[in-house]
Amino acid sequence: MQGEEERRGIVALNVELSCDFMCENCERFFKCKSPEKLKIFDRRRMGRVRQTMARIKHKIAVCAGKGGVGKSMVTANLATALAMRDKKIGILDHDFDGSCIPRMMGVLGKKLIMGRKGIIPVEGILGIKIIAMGLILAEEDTNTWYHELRRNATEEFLAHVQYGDDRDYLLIDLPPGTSSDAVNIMQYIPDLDGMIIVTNPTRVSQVVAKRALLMALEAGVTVLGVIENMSGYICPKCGVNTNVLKKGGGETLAKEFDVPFLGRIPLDPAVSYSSDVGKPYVYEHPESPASKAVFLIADQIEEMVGEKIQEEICQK
Amino acid sequence: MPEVEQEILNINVHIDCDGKCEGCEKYFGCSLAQKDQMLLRRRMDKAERAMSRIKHKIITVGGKGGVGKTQVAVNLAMALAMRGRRVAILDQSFDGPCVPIMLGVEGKGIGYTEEGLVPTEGPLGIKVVSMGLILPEDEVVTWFHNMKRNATEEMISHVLYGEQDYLIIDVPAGTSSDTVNIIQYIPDMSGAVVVTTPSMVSQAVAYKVTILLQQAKVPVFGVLENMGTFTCPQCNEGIDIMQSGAGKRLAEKCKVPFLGTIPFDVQVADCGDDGIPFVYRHPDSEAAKVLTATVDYLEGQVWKG
Repeated sequence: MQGEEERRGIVALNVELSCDFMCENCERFFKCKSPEKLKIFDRRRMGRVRQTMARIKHKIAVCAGKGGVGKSMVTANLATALAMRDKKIGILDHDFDGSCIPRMMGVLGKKLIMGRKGIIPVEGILGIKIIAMGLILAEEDTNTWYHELRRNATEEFLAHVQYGDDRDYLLIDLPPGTSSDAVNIMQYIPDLDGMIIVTNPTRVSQVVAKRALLMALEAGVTVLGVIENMSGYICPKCGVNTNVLKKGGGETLAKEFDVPFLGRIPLDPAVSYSSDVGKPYVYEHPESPASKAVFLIADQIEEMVGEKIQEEICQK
Repeated sequence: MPEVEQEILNINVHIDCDGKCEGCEKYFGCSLAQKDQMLLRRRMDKAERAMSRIKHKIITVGGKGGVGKTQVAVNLAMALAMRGRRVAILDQSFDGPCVPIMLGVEGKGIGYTEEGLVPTEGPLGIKVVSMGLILPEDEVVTWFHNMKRNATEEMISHVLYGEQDYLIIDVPAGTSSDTVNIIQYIPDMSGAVVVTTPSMVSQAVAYKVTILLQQAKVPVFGVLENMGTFTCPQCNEGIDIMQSGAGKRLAEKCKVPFLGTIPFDVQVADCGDDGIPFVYRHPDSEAAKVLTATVDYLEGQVWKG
């Protein structure tokens, strides 16, 4: 090796970015302050999306940044919990590569139908309407889509689906990461009620969730709160609670950004089992600690979006 | 009025060949003769030169998020370094890089000379390359395909890896850009380790990524199952928090070896957060034993060919 190398620390990657006015393809969309931005954007096919979305009362995205913390599980069970209170729910599974919602909601194998007025969602329990790539692709099909195809698919799933006029909530399950799929949703639904961040108790998960939270804030999306999933495990034999994945990452994150901490959902074999067989556990085991945690989260969400008044929650 | 209803069999998207192989989603499905020639004309040769000084390139994949790809990657790297191999690790996660945290080099930054990027040195001399060493903690990457591809290219062709026995590449969840780019840029990949948890949900997604690897003709070393049986530290009761069997089932379905199950272990998560790989900190644990056996097997496979 030669003598002293002149080392400079890298503070950023230098990649070329000139503005070509293709807002829908621009990674800097949320950072951009150009007044032209929104005008250009409206000229594209946003109009149809806006019409369809306007007929849905509340749109909530579920994000995490980190993979495997339980976004889909939380989305499926939160949807079911709200449906158990007679709300009309839609779920948009926005994870194209690893679409898990169909399995978790027990509709794997059913297919989306193209009707005269658009795509007809598959119906799960309690009338929950479901849209997912997993309802189109076969098991051995792999999705290797890059940005453009994803954006087009997102547009289809937002603009051309017959969600109907009576949906109280559309829950949007996002994949891990902070790229195309998350950004596209936030661009296409500027009136999103908010985003829920799911994390697990580890520091690793918290560090990544932080970036997802920052992404939401940069995009001007309200962060409804943080859920800490996989939080503790109670041994059925001796009753001791072990923090298998450490503790506290979720609550710390919520405090750091001054957003509500919505609660902890414990590890429970029944949860994984129910996801595998497609029977949401809040429906099958409403008395379990995990289910109770989800019902409490549903209460808080309803209150935040204006569906439920404070007194009702205090009475519980 | 009756609606004419048809089942949706596929999303109809328009794909013409524009000759831009590196931007093409159908890359692995394409059998055009021009394909190989086009790719060579791009900046692949610099990547090839950098990679030719590394004997064996191994990727950890899973398709599904949060199954333990990064845990496996850092522990494979550590186990190899513990037996004297020269190892580098490339973190291909741009949105949520975890490798620096798990190897205890968080915050150390990465250097740059005229000749290229200088990897950060981790435990036992492991060379670490990660976006996590470049991005500040509170910066968000919202990159789409082209920037990711450019970053991948940078990280393969302009990093001064030097002579290495192994490059372990940790690929994030998904089956798109991140995975495809790395496979395109390293056509002589020694093989892949597929990580899954015991649940069917995870198995289904892992299956997709395994199919992708087979389409891309990347050898699959085998399936490693993570987060298996949990043993209560108080009463020693063993329980499967996450069902069981997906690892074996996947291995059988894809006709690849089943490499074993790493149990769900409090210590493993702690090691991730504390930045000391479990094969080093808890070498007598079941987790470490399974991982070490995997390394034995991998070494047997790569040094054969």
